[in-house]
Amino acid sequence: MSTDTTFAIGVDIGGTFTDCVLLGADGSIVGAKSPTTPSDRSEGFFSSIARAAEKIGLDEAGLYARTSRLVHGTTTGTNAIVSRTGADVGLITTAGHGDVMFLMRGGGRTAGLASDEALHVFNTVKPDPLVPREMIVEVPERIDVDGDVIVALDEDATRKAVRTLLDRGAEAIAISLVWSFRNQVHEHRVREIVEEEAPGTFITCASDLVAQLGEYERTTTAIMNAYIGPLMVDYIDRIETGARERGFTGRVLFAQCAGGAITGDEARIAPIRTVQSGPVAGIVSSQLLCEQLGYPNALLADMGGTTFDVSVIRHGEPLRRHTSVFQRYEIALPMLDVESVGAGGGSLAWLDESGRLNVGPQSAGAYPGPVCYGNGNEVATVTDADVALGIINPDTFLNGRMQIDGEASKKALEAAGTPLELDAMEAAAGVNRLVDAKMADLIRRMSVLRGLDPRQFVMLAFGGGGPVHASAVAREAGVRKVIVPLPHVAAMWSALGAAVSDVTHVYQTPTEIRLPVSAEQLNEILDAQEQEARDTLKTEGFGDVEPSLSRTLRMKYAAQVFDVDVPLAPGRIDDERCRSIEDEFAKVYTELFGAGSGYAEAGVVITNVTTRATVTTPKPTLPKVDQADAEAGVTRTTRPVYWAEDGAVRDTPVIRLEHGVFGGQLEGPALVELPDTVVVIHHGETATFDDRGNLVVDIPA
Amino acid sequence: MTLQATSATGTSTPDGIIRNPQVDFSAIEPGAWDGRDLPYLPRIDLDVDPSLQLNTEFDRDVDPITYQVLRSRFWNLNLDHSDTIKRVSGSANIVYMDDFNTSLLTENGDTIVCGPSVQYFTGHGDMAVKWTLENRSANPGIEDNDVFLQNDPYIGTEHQMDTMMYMPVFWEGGLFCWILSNTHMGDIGGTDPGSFCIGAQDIYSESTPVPPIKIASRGVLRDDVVEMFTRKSRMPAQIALQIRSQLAGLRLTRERMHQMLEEHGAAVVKGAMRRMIKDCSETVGKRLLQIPDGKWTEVLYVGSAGPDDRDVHRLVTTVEKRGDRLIFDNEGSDPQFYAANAPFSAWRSSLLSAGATLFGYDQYNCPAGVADHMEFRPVAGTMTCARYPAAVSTLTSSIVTVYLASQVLSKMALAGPEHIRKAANASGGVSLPGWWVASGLDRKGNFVAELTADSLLGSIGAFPTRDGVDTGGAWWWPNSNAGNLEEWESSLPILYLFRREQIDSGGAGKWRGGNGLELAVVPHKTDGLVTQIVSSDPAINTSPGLAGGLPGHPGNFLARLSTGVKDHLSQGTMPANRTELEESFGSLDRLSPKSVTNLTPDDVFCVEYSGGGGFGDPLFRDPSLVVEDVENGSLTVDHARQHHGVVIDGTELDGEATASLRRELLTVRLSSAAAPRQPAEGTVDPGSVRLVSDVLGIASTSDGPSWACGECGQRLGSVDQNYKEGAAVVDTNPFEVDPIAYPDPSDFCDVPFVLRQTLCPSCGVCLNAECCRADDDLLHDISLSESGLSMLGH
Repeated sequence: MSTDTTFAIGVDIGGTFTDCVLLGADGSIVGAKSPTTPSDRSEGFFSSIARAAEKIGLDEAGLYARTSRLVHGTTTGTNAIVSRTGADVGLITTAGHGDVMFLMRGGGRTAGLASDEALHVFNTVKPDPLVPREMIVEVPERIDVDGDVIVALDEDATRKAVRTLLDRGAEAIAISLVWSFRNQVHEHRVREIVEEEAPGTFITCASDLVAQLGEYERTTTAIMNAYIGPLMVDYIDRIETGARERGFTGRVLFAQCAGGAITGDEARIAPIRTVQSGPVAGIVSSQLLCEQLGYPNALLADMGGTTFDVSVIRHGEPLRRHTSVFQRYEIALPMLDVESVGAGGGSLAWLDESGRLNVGPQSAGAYPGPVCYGNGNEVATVTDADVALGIINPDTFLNGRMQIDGEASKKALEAAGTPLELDAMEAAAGVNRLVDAKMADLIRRMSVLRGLDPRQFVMLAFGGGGPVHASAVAREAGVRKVIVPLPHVAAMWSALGAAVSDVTHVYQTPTEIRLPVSAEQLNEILDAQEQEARDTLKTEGFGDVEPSLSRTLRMKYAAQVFDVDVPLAPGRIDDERCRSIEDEFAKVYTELFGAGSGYAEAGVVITNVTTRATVTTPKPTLPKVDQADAEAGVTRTTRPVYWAEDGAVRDTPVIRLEHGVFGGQLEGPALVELPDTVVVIHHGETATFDDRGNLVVDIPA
Repeated sequence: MTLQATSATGTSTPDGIIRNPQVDFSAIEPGAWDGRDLPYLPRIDLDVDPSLQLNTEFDRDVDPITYQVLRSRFWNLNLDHSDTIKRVSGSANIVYMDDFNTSLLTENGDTIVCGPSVQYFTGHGDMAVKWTLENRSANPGIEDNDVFLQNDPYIGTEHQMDTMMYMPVFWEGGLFCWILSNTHMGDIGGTDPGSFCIGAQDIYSESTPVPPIKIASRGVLRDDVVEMFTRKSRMPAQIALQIRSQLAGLRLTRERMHQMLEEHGAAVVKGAMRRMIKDCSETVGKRLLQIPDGKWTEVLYVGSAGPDDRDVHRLVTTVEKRGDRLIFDNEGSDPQFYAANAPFSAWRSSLLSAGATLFGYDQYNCPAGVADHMEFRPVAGTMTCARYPAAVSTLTSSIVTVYLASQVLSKMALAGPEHIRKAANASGGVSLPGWWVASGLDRKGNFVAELTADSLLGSIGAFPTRDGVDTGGAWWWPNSNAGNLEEWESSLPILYLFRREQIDSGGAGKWRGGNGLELAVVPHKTDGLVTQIVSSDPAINTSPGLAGGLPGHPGNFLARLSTGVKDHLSQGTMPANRTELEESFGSLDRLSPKSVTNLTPDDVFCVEYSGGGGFGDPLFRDPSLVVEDVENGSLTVDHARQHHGVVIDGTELDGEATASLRRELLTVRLSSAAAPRQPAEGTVDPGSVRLVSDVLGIASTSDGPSWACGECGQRLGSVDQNYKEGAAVVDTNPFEVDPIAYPDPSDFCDVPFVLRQTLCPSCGVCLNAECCRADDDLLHDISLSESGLSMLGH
């Protein structure tokens, strides 16, 4: 890498390591890792950058001086919500409706549970409230469906409410009123009163965050935002100040859950947008990769210690959703669509009361972890199965960073198999088959509701377990090609995604427009959104950049519940365009829900108009791999591996890659050992490196 | 040909072939029981036309891993079936309310997997498929790629709106299995929009039931049949779409099933299906064997069962447990009445789903394995087992049978060991089969009418070791969703004044039932709103507790007319709960559960939905939990005092005052009770009492086994007699106990109705609490048989 280039820096903080990626303007990518520092994550943040600087032979100041943007994917907010260590939030809401978060629309008992867990009635409870009832105050006011004020806001009561909440220890205030997205006047007036009564307190207005129907989702989103508000403001301060103190004069940005990045100022107001931004940044990397490899459709499969997470790129765009269940509460934020099932390396193999072997969803996690870690868990896990089968070599596990006990894995599998009259190998192969089937079941299920055909998708495999299990899962689900992306960068995929993230603003206007719509109606909304986007970007210092504007209409058949996003081509809307909107909608609806599934008789409604304004940063072109490097870091050996296909142990070719690629084609059965994972190539499959350095496994139909 | 269970390759029991006939025809009324006059009861050996080839071959020794892979595939395949229906129909009924179910059945109609949506549908599919095999295999024949539709409650469904579509899957020339869905359809005709025909005296006034008919023949959807069916509806296009969605679900599932068969072979796939039944049956059987044998009875009542009805109707379910076998009867249920009846299939399905929830919760919802332990002895012509042509559309008794089932089986489970009894669950959820339909002109002048879904914000009753779930929905409707009020205000011309958890509405108990919901609406931006209530009387149709826990608030329909509410709102006043509403406008009037009211914008309409029943005597609830409830806003200080005897000073527990108040309340309770009819002398060591409920149990005495109080050791009489004979009994008008939680029975009913508490005559602990007609004899609800007593060491 040339040291006179300019850089974008991406940093992603994981549970154990903080990853930093330097992205050169010449397309070069350099990564570095540093331990995560849970007490103050900003320390690990800056150390990782310092390490990266070291790697390219610059001092810290030198690197910062050459860096234009520093993008951070942070889990600080997510962690605070998961561990319930956020602020004491006071909620101000409409009189008569203070229980919205408790009611959970009635479905809360089973929200976020696996489908079969709902059958265990005695195990179903609602999650602990995010705000106790004594911290919820209702104020007289009411706005109706049209945004008309039916009951004026009682300002005295509001003032009293604020004082009550402060007296009870509120550290942040969430304001969520019924129908506020149709008329913000009351929420904004309440905000003013809170500001007067408690200057400096962190405040969230639900309608500023979520402009869509659904008081439950707006309220939970506003509460979570306020909950992490104070600590996120503090954290963002530390990152920005720290960067400045180190001489950085460029932009500090934060990755967000809808993809793209936001400024620190916006993240201070809407920190909830940073939750899940790490995994989402990984999807951004994948999108870039797919674009450059020419795969418009991809399933992104990430198998970690506890869960298997799948997201989807279709027609080159990641699938998004407007609401998601997060920590068992439904929140409304434009997020990338990720589905999970409890299947990971730490998933436990156990016998149920009927004597059947099950894998997960209970997991030994990272600690105590699999039996082979020797930390006290004695129940076999998926990783133990991989070790017992010979797929994972105890001597080179995690590149030799961790000593594991392969014999202990075998013993645990033997114990698991005995009641079923299976030997250790059969049991291990069985555990693998079960976990693979579970992952394939998830992919099949995802494809039904989303109208996907897995045969038209490639699968990108991530995580410690992804490459180990991907080809088996793919075959079972009907996918024909698995790609292990840039093995030496994949471990820093989220940091890379952060580095390439564009500054993105999303403007949503809720509507209730029944077709036919006039050009005037749409242009009025679109123009206002564009103006707002330009104004905001200008205040953020992007005034001289022409933003890319993508506009969508969210539409539905009036008598049906599913709404879909219908893209609007760039340019001004005229009446002719308006007339084609219904057909465009019908086309999208049919693609997603099948022919004949639209109930057109009751009419079509536009429920939301959205403009995404993006300041596009130049994307690196993944450099071609220098074939001269091929075989440089390659060790070829064999070792005994148990293959279920053979029902026997077979001496199996193993290619170990310290770095670089191997040349030619590798026929399965074979293993490719990478520093952090192993790629399993089954019988009949072939593996090759493409010219960008991705390992591609082809699966015969 | 007769489909002989023993003709398959399996010969030993249990091998997943159901050999339990479920019905002993010699024990019930003689008759055809073919779904024409008497309801359909399938025989163990189905009468299938020999022209129909059945693919019955199965591998009895599927390897354990393949079995688990296939088992998970069946579950997920069935979820895919559900998802496809959701996706194509896009109907709020299906997607949000989850008012449907899908299932997978063996070639002879045993259900191996049911989805996690509405659970009371789980016992209808096998009835429909078995009837079809017996009655349609010769004419018109059952062929590959055919699809049947049926909604005949006398064959198998809740009411006509719950319409089933199902298809045989053929493989290698034989019928291999069935796939099936049952969805609630919005309107399929009858006298009332929405097809709940309150005034129907017989089924001829309701939507005509359709016995199994071929709606698709060899892959071609028959337009004639579709139009015959949709023609009845006020919304034919919507019904046609729902039919399309069910068809799409079936086709996808058939394709997936073919893939599985291709991959694994028919014998292995069927082997896995049979093994699921076997596993479920064995596991349920193992659990049942740990419960002592005996007999348990539950009685629930219905008021306002038809127009102008002021009677109280009795609905009964009894279970006799012998080893791993459960024999159910409905003897004592009152004669069928208007459209309030449950078909046999609903009564059975309720028992199957309650049985699966209590004893087969880890079996991927495999009703056939549960049914393997059940025998049914229906008495036809009753509200719990209608005889043709009784009307059934309102679901009134069908939903009551769900709670009869969960109550009677929970009572039974309480006699079992801890891991079994913990699942016992008091009533709640949609315990009141009550809905309301709102209609009127919306703010744009369009006519709108909708069945509201707020009832799904009822609650879960208490368990033996934990509280119920506030506004947790119904146990048998796990993934239902009542929606945001903003969605309802978008579609209906209403404005909610409040929609909130109703404080104090859960039944008091050692563990309390979940609180239900209260809401008030006013007509908004319209000249008027018509509210039609489809319910029975909540004062009679209660939400009972278990083991001495009090009933939850069953719900209520109320109104206050000409309030001047609009002026109040414009002046900035906002009543935020029922108390504030009544303070502003005066007390609310109860509405008849069958009433239609024309509301003006000045009227307020108020609805409350099921609190859950409590578990155990409320005076024995851990006081710190009561304090926590008050702190959390779930209970008022007054309720804590009155029902739990807990005195709270500010926010602190007054321990001494609590102890003394509790003593006092027990004394008052006892002094107001009638003395035992057959007092038993003597006490035993309370620690020696083997509990079969919460504190009620059995102890050894020199006179043999005796009922005894586990709290103080007081003997309650020989186990040969009803323990209530040896107990003190207090009858009170529930309305006087708590006028909000227990509406006044005399409002809409001429039969005196009481809350009857059975007390230990010595210490006063409540052994049982139930509501009944004042002139009812003491209900003999628990008895243990000789084998049951010997299991308990007697």
